[in-house]
Amino acid sequence: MTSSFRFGAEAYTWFMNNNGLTHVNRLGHMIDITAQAGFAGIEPIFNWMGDLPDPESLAKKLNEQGVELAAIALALDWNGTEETEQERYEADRAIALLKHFPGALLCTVQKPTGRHDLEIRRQNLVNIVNRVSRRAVDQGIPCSFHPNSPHSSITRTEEDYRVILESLDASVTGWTPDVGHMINGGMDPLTKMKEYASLINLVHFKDWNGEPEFALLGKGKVDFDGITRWLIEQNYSGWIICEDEGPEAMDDPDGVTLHDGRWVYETLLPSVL
Amino acid sequence: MPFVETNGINLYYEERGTGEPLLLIMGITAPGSVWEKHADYWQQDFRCIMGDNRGVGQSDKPAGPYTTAQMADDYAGLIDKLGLQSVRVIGVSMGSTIAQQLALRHPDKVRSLVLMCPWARCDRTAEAIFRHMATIKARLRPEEFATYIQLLIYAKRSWDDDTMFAAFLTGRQQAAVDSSPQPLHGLEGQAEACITHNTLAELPTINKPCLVIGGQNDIFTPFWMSEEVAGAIPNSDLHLYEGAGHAFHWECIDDFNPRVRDWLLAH
Repeated sequence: MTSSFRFGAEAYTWFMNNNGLTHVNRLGHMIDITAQAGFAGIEPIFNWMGDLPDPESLAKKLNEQGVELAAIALALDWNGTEETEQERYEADRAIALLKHFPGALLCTVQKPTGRHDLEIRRQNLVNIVNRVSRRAVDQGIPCSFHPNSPHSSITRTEEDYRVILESLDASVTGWTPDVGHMINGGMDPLTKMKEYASLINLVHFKDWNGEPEFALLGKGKVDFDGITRWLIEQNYSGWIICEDEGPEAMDDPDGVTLHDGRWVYETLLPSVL
Repeated sequence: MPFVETNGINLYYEERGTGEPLLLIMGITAPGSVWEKHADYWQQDFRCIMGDNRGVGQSDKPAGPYTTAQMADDYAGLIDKLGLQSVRVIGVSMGSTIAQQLALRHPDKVRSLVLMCPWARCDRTAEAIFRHMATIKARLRPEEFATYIQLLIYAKRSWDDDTMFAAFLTGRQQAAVDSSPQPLHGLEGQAEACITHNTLAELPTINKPCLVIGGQNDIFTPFWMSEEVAGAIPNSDLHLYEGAGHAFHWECIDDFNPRVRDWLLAH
């Protein structure tokens, strides 16, 4: 048995400290650590790439370390019935950057702002995600929608998933199952992944122990062996991005990322292949 | 919003009209509301019950694959929950395969059948079409996918008609902004049900009156399929509209609506 997917790191592991202020303008360093950890790719956060703001400098750094740009996470409020002018500007800038990196995905994320007016806001969000994704795909950039699970998120519960995922336009966007966010929202990740298998085009690994939420990869309750075996059976050939939000990441994101790389290549893969 | 829990899912349905119950089962991709132009007419004589099939509309869309037997059991549960006895059943396209299974698996619940553009089994062409629908659903824009469906179901007479063609263009635009599209996995589940449907050997056991009706120029479910079904069900009438396609029921609606009503009133 062999696997056709590749593993990467997410910049969010560094973002956790002080809402990104501590490690601002250190994407280059994150790429260094990502390479040291043995990961094939990285997923930066758009608008948090200050030291490598243009495609030339980013490509140079990635090539230097042999790391590929897997995706860029675009996290915006998207609280209106359609994008605001500023939101559209930001999305278009992310799309323009990604055009220089064929195959890299635009990972769309809504910043959580509350569960009020839930039904209409879910619908608005889907419409916006579909429209942004359509603009990106028209430029040759694949897209993936990433639900999350803070209590103020409208993409948290099983019903949120049903309503939103079932309205995504599969011709312009797929879905990023984030296994830690799913279990945090009360779902079994593997069951949900099987239910919406045809939408999956990016995967985020995050562990969870419910104390109160996330844990270092390999230290929680997510069934990574089962999920990884299923992805292998499905011949999944995309990215699996380790977005470790365990408490250790607050103080030592470098160490956490290095741990994640060891865990993936020395523990997880040997147990499933 | 009326839902019934049946066969493990929440099935959405609507009712219109009064009289004896008439169950309408829609085809692949379409919610029950697509019966509108027929229910408008038949509601004068019948209590029309229109469900959203498993996998589309406001009904649940569990992971597939589905089967027509399973989907028939969905409707059997609906009939029970509504406290109905034997009902008249009309199924169109995939709905007609579900209707066959309903008559086979729950004969006490079916009084008579109208099978619109039915098949008893898929040949390689039909299987390829259903698989292709699921494949391109994930690749074409909704308005492009709508165009493909239009190509499958409408005959030349409709494409050449200015009013119909204008409606096609409007339909594509509406598909582009549909707020509750069928999700990909729902279509995949339904396509699998269509492909695996095979009742040819059992159809002779259906002892209900049956009207098989379709379009002579149907390129989606060709007339040989209707002939095969009508030939297998003992007490069946066959009517094929000349020059009409899979959407014969809209293309010939002035004749179709009263013809079906009259047949139902007699059976």
